[in-house]
Order: sequence, then C-alpha cells, then structure tokens
Amino acid sequence: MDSNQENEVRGTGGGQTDVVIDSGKGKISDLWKKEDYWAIWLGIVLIVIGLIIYMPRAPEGMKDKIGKANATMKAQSDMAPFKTVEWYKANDAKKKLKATDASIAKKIKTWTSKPHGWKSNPVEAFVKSDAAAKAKAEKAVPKYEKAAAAEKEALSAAMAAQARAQAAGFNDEALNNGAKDSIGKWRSARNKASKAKSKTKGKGYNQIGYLIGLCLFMGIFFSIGMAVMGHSPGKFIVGFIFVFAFAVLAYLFAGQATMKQYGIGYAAWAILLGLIISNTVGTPKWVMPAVQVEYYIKTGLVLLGAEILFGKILTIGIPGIFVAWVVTPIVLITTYWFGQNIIKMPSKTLNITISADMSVCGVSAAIATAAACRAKKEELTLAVGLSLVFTSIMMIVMPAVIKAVGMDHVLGGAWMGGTIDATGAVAAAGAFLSDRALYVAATVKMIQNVLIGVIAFGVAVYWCARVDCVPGQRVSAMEIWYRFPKFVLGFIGASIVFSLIYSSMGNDAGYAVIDHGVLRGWTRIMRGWFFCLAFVSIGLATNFRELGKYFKGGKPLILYICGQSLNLVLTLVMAYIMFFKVFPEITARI
Amino acid sequence: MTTSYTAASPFGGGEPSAAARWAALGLSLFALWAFIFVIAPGFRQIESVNTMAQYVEDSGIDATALYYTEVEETGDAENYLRSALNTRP
Repeated sequence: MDSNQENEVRGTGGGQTDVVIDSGKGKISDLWKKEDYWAIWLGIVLIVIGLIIYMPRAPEGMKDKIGKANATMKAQSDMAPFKTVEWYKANDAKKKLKATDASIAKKIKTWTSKPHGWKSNPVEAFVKSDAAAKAKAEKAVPKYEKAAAAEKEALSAAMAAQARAQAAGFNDEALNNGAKDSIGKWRSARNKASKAKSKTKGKGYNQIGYLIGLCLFMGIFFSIGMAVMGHSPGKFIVGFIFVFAFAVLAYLFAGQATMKQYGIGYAAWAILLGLIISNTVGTPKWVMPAVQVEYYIKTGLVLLGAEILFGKILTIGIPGIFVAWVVTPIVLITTYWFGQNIIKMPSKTLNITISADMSVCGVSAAIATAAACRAKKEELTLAVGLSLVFTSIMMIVMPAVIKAVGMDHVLGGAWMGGTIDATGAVAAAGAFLSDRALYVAATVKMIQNVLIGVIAFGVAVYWCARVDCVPGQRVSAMEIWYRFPKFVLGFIGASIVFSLIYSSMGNDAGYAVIDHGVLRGWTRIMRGWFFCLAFVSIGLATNFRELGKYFKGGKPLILYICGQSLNLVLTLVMAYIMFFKVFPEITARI
Repeated sequence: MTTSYTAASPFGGGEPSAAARWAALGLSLFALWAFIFVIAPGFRQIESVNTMAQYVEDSGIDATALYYTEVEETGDAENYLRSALNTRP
C-alpha cells in the first residue's frame, strides 16, 4: 500500500530527522503511523471545515448581482471605446461580493488573528483600548475627508469628460483620451480615499485570550496525530506551548512598522528567534517533542494545495502563461544545471531549493520544493534567507529602475511579477508605479504561484526516480511509489479538487466563495500559522556552525545571483515579446 | 525541568558556561533591538528606500506576504484583468 519509511539521519541535525529514505515496503498501518499521511488527514479535516463554513454562505443575491454587473460592463464596453465610470462601478460592485463578509468569517478572523501591527510599543500588538483605537482613528479622519473630497471632485471631472466624449458619439479621439485620463485620475483618487477610510475605523482589542485559545486548539489538533503515531500527546502539548509562543513572537516582530515596510516577514523572524534560543541558552529538552518541522510543513502544504487554482493561469491570457509558465521552468532547470555542472554545488537538494525559490516565488516555493526533495532544514533556512534579502532589495530597486528608464508599466509589471520572489513585495513594487503595473505584476506572480504545484510534484518524482538512487540504477514504478513523499498527493489532490470546484462555480462566484471564503477566510490563516511553527522549529533545531557549512565558498549566493540575472533578462525579453510584439491588443486593454 | 542543548556549541571549542550563554542571548536580543529601532530606520536616509517604505506604509499593502491569497491586491488585479480582457475596449 505504501512505503515503510525508515528514518535515516543524513548529516547532523541536532537530533532532528533530516532525510527520510524509504526502504521499499508498504504497510496498511502507514496510513495512521506515518507523518506524511497525518499531514493529509489533518489538512483534509481543515479543508472540509472550511467548505462546510463557507459554501452555504455565498453573499446574498450573488448570482443576480454578478449577472447585473456583467451585463452593465458588457453594455458599457459595447458603447464606449474606453472603460467608462459605469463600467468601473459595476466592476467594483462585483468585487465587493465576498463570503468573508459573513459574520462567522469575522469571528474566525478574531480567533485566529496574529498579533496586530505596532510601531514602538509592542504591547499594542496584543492589547489596545477602545479609547486609544478611537483616538488613532480620529487622527486619520482629516486625511480621509481630504481624500474623499478629492475623489468626489475627480469623479465629477471624469463624468463631465465622459459626457463630452459621449456627446461626440465617442468619435473624437482627443475627447476619448481626455475621458480616459480623467477616469484614470478618479480611480487613483478613489483608491487613496478607500485606503484612508480604512484607517478611520478604530476598535479596541485584546488578542491574548484568543491566542491562548488558538494555541490550545492547534496543540490538541496536532497532538492527535502525534498520539496515534506513538508519541506522548502530553509532552507534545507542553513543548507546543513554547513553540507557539515563539511563533507569536515571530508575528510580533514581523508586524513592527519598519519591518513591514521592508517586507521582512514572519518566516525570517521565526527562524532567527529559534536560532537565537538554540545557539545561546539552548532549546529546552522538554520542547523537543513539539519541534516537528516536517509535520507542520507538510500539513501546511496540503492546505497550500487548496490555494493552487489552475483556472487562474489564464487570467491575463497567453502572455501571462509565457512569462510565468515558460520562462520560470527554463530558469529553474538552467539554474539547477548551472549549480550542478559549473558551480559544483555540494548538495543537489540545496541547489534545487535555491533554484526553485529564486525562479518561482520565494519562500512558499522553497518550502514546497524542499519538502518534495527532502532537503535538510539548514538548506531550507539558507534558501529562505537568500530570498528574503533579495526580495527586499529588488522591491526597492526595480520600480526605481523602471521609472528611471521610462519603461511601460505593463512591461515593468510583468518583469517585476516574474522576478521578485515574494508576492507581497511584488504587489508593493507594482502599486508604487501605477494601477496598471500592480494589476499585471500581481497577476503574473499569482500565475507563477500556481506553478508551485507542478514544480513540487515534478521534483518529488525526479528525486525518487533519478536522484535518490544508485547511479545507473533503473527504478521501477513501484519503487518510485514507495519512495514518493505521500503528503505531495494531499497537496496535489487539494489543488485538483479546489480547481474543479472553482471552475465549476465560474470565476466570479469562485472569487466570492472559494478565493474570498474558504481560502482567504480559513485555510490560508491556518497555513500561515503552520509554516510559522515549522520555521520556529527549524530555528530551534539548527546550529549556526552547521548552517555555516552550507554557505562555504559563497556558492549558494553565487547560484542565486547567476540564476536571478538569467531570470531578469529572460523575463524582460519574454514580457516584451508577448505584451508588445505578439499580443499588443491585450496590452492595450489593460 | 532540565535544559539541554540541541547541538554542539555554536561558539566553537568547548561547551561555554551558562553565564556566557545568557550573555550571548542578551547580546542577540540587543542586536535585534538595534536592528529594528536603529539600523533599519537608518536605511531610510537613502531616498529611494525612504520613498518605497513610506509608500508601503501609506498604501497598507502587506509587503511581507508570501502567497497570492495573503495579498488583497491580487484579488483586485485578477478581478480587473478578467473584466478588462473579457470586454471590448
């Protein structure tokens, strides 16, 4: 039935299992005795809970509202050669439909929320009085009022310009362009007013009780699997409290205002805080039963699978596929080949983890690839560290370069979307330039995110069939199955099931109920916590000296820089060809 | 409860004393504090860094997000592009 995985430690890892080599036998009991299967079962339980919560809670009148909005947009697009005010209003109405607006979604958010943002007083991350929240909100009111007035004025100007163009039967190009510009200015003013409005809502909070509740829920949740796998659930829960506390601290540091501005997220802080403890006073022995890197990562990856929706790859048409799904695998494979044959990377797993993290989408790709090829935790740490440093740099440098050379924002957006590792940094860099740049950058990155599923599956199969075997040995299909990391089946299965549900509902309904319901309102929150627990565990079980060995000769850095250079060139060339030579009509519509 | 150490000393040589370990922890925490409140804000002296940092703060975009489902703007982008490419202008 399945592999009988015999754990072997390859290299040192502070008592933590590093690499699992399958012995080629399967037992039915593996289904409840092995961590890979428990990751699948726990992931499925959470996914089913998400579906039960959100599927019956579609926004009221969703179908009618979508139909009405689409009809308005079609009528407007048939009438005018540009996107009219009414077109945008209909699109906004459609965008508002989200299952996460249901009251239960707000309760879930409260119970599972990470610490809030703060600037100089970390207590504000956990507790804030109503009076303090209100005072802060009131400070934002004048800015909002100014922005709202500007929006109103911009809307009037846009309506007037549109009316002039309409009076000329939309045949006067100058009037059409004037209307288009005015409408663009209104959209920009509207975005500013919307952001300013969100800061005028102030409500106090006390997150401590909820965090304790979440800790207990997750501790008990994971301890069920630990108990069935033959470990002490009591000892696990005791250690889990420590690991969870450090995950909270990681989110606390990531929520500090300056760290948010630089894009230094929880993954970096979780590893760093864990490393500091393990390499100074040492990780307490009683914590070790809960230092379960792979258990948390694999469960998180099954949940991530649900977020991999294949229908999204067509969002921006063929140009997006070429930029995100053709360039990326070419860069990945070339970088891996370069690492093996030119740089002579001592570890294939480190090589592929860095290659995937650099070419696909940073930390999330590194996690999936490292788990699929069973990379060591030090290798994942190194790949994540490289990605975070270069993401921060590229988020600042790329928009500056694009602006300086006067590059078209569709091209610039596609370039940044295909090369900057982390999705949040891509959105920030794109939005910094313009809405057009943001739309293209964020969408190209989203399409690239979906590639993780294919990459992780491909790497898992390649490693079983070609890498983890004696040179020249031909591995049978059965043997590949025995060796295959089974959690990948849960990861891919979740992706396929959710892709089918999403496409059967249609993009608009899928957006409202699946994307902005089950995924953003449930699985991604739990997945974030699980990855954070995994990164804390990595830090708590890693020795600085061990980490240093992997960086010897600076080879990982050289690999990243060379791969990223290739990525920058190929992505730019492909984006230019696709958006300006082959499909200029798509560019014109954006 | 006993305390153990997960691996050989990161300091090299023999096992450091408990005092040295606690001192190292204190030093590490001080380094973190210095990074967050002194070094990182210091980078804002560079104009391009300051401009982007200010933009991220004002826009409220979560620049630390790892995946598209963590970024509200990807939903907006997808929604806009689908509508824009499915209609004529």
